[in-house]
Amino acid sequence: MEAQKISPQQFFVLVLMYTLGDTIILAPSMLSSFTGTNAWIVTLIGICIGILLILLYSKLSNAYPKKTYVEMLKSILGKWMGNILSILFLFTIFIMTMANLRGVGDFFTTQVLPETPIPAILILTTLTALYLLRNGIENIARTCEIFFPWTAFLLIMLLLLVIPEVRIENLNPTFVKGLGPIIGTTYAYMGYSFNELIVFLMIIPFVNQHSAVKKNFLLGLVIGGITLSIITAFCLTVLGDDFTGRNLYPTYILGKKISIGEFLERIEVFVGISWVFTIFFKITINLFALAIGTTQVLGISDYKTVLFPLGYFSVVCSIIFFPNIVYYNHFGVSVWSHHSAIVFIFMPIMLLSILTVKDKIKKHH
Amino acid sequence: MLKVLGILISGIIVLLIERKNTKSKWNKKEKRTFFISLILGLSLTIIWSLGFNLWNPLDFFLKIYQPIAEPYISYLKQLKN
Repeated sequence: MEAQKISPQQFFVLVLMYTLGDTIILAPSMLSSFTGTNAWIVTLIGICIGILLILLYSKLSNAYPKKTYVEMLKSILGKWMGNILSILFLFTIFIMTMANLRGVGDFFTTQVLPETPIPAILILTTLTALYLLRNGIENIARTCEIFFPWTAFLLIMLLLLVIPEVRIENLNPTFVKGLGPIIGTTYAYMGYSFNELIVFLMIIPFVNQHSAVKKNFLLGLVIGGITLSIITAFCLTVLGDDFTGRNLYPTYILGKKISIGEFLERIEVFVGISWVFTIFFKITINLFALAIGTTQVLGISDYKTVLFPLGYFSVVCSIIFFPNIVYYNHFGVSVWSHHSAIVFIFMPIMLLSILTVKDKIKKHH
Repeated sequence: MLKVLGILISGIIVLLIERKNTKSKWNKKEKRTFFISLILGLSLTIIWSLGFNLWNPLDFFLKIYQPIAEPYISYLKQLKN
C-alpha cells in the first residue's frame, strides 16, 4: 500500500464534502415528493440513523485498523467468499459512482450548458478526477481542504440571501397518514445519503491517527446532515412542498429566488459551483475506493494500474447504466434504497456478528 | 470512424503517460492487469461509440428488486394520493 497519509482534520473535511455530495441538490426533491412538508423531519431522523451506522463502521475498522473493507472481508470470510462479496461491494460502489457522474452530466446539460453533448462533460469530469487520483490520497485531501471554504461560503451566502423569501408556515408538518410515510421515506433517504459513507472504510487505513477517526467521522456526518436538513427546510419554506417535489434541482431553484433590491439577482450559479465541488470530491473518493479495492481483489500493490481503464469504463457506463433522468430517478428509489441497505448496512452487520462469534470461540479455547 | 480514431489516439496518450511505469516500475502481474483492462476499456468505448445497443446490467437489478420495489413505491405514495 502507498505510504501516503492524511490527517484526521482532512478526513473530517472529506467526510463532510462526501456527505453533502449529490444529496444536497437531489434529496429535497425526492423527500418532499413523498412526504410533503414533513421532509425536514425525515432528514433529522436520517442523522440519528446515520450516527448508528458510523458507530457500526468504526467498530469494524477498530477490529482491523490497518485494513480496508475489502481486506477485512478477505481476512474474516476467507479468500473465496471474501472476494465474491468484495466484487459485489465494488460493483455497488461502481453503480453509485456512475449515478453521481451521470448526475453531473444531467445537471449541466439541463441547467447550465444545454447545447453541450453529455459525453463532453463526463470526459472532462473524469479526466480531472483521474489527474487528482494519480497524485494520491494526500493530494485529494489537501485539494478538498482548499475547496471546502468556498463551498461553505457559497452555501452560507445562499442561505443568508434567501432569508427575505422565507415563509415559516410552510414547515408545518402533516400527520394525516401517521408516521408511515416518514419512516418509509427515511429508508430511501438513507440510501441517497448516509449509507454510502461505508466507502470511508477504504480510506480509514490512510489516516495517520486512528484513535481520532471515530470522532471526526461522527462530526463530519452530523455537520453534513444538519446542513442537508437546513437546505431542505429552506427549500420547503421558500418554494413550498409542492414546487420542491416537482422540481429536479430545488436547491438550484432556491438560488433563482434571490432578489435583493433589484440589484443582486439570480445568483443560482453559486449553488451550482458549490455543488460541483462536493459532487466532484464524492466521485473522486469513490473512484479512489474502487481503484484500491479492485487492485486488492486482484492482489496488486499499485492502484494506478487500473485508473485509466476505470476512466474509460466510467464515461461509457454512466451513459449505458442510466439512459435518461426518468430511469435514474426510478432506479434511485425502487432499487438503490434496497440494494444499498443490503450491501452497505446488512453486510457489515453480518460481518460484525461473525467477528464477535469468532472472538468468543477464541476466548473459549 | 473519426470517433474510433479519437479513442485509439486517447489510448496511445494513456500508454505514453504510463510509459515509465510500464517500463520499469510495475511487475509482470501489474503490467498484465493494466494492458488487459485498458484493452477492455478501449474496446467497450469503441463499441459504444459505434452506436451498438449495449446490455444494461441495471435492468437485471430492476427485475430482481421488482417484488419489493412495487409495494414500496405505492406505500411511499400514499400520502400524496
